[in-house]
Amino acid sequence: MDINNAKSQMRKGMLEYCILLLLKRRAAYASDIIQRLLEAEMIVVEGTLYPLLTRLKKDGLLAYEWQESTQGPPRKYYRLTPEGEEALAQLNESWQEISRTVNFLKQ
Amino acid sequence: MKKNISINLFGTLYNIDEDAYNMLENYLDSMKRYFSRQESGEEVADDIEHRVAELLWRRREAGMNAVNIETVREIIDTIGNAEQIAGESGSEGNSSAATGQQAMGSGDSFREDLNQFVNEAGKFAGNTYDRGCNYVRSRKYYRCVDDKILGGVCSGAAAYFNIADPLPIRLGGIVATILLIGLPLPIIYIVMWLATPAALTPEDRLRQQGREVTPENITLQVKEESQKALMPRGETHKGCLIALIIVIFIVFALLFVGPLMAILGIFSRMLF
Repeated sequence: MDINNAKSQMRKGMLEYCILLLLKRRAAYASDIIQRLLEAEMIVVEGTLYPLLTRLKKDGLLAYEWQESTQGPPRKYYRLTPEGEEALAQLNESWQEISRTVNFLKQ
Repeated sequence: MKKNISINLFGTLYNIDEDAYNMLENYLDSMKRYFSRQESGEEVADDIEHRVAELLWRRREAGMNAVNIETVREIIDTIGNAEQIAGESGSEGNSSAATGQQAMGSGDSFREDLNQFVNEAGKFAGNTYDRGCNYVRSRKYYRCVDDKILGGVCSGAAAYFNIADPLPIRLGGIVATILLIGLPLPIIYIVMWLATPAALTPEDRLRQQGREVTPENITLQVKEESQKALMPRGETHKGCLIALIIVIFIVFALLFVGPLMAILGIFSRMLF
C-alpha cells in the first residue's frame, strides 16, 4: 500500500466537505478559503481549489457575487446556498458515521 | 539589463521583464489548455488569472518594482501546475475520454469520411513504418497548428510518421511542386488543410502520437507541453520557406492564369 497515496485520497475525499464547513461559518473570498485550507494542510497548491469551487457552484451548493477590492482585481465572494446547507447537514451525518466506525475499529 | 514589458491585468498595469512575461503567458496558456477539457473550465482558468493578479498586487504593495522571473516562479509554485492540481483535486479527468469522443463526433460527415480515408491510408503507411519502430498503436492524423507555415499539414505528417523535424517533408513538398508543375500537390495540400482536424487540445496531440487518452497521459502531455513552451524554438527556416512558397505561387499564377485567360478569351469570342 502506498501510504502517501492513501493519505492524499483521504484528503481529496474531505476537501468538498471542508469547503462547505468553512463557508457555513461565514461567507468568504477564495483567497480566505485557500488560506484556511493551507493552514489546515488540506491542500498543497492553491490551484486545486478553483475547480472545486466552480463545481460546487455549478451543483448549486455555493453562490458568489463579485466584489470590488481595494487590494487588486475584483473578487468572488462565496457563500453557502440553502442546498449547500442541506448537503452539509448530510455530510455532517456521514462524517459522524465514519468517525464512529473508525473509533470503534481503533478500540 | 533586461527588456521590460507593460501588461494590463484586470485594469492594473504591471511592469514585467520579458522572460518573466513569457513564463507567465505560457503558464496561463497551459492552465487554459488544461482546464479547457473540463466543464466550466474557462471560468476556472479565469479564476486562476485573477489569483495571479491578486498575488502580483500584494507583492507590489510590499514594494516590488517590476515583476521578474523569480516572482513568476514563486507564483506558479503557489498556485501549482496542471499536474499538481490534477493530482490533488481527484475526481476530474474522468470525463476526458467522453469529451474526446464528442470532439470527434462534432465534425460534419464529409470531414469525418475524409479523415477516415486519410487515417486508413496513413495506417497502411504508418504500420509498415511503425513495425521497425515498435509502435503498435495506430496514430491519428492531425494538423500541427503549433508548428505551422500555412496550415500545419506537413508538420502533422511529420508527427504522424514520427519524424522529429518537419523540414524534410516541407522541402520535399516544395521541390516536388516545382519539379511536377501541374500536378495537384498544392490542391492536395489545401484539401488536407480544409478536411483534416487541427490538433488543438492535449487529447488531440496524444492521439496524434498514438498514445492512449487517459487522465495520466493528458497530465503528462500538458506538463511536457508547458516545459516545451519554455524552450526557445528555431524559427529561422520558416521565413525562407514562406518566401519560397510565395515565389512558387506567383510562378504558378503566371503560368496558369495567362493561358487560362487566353482560352477563355477564345471561347467568349467563339460564343459571341
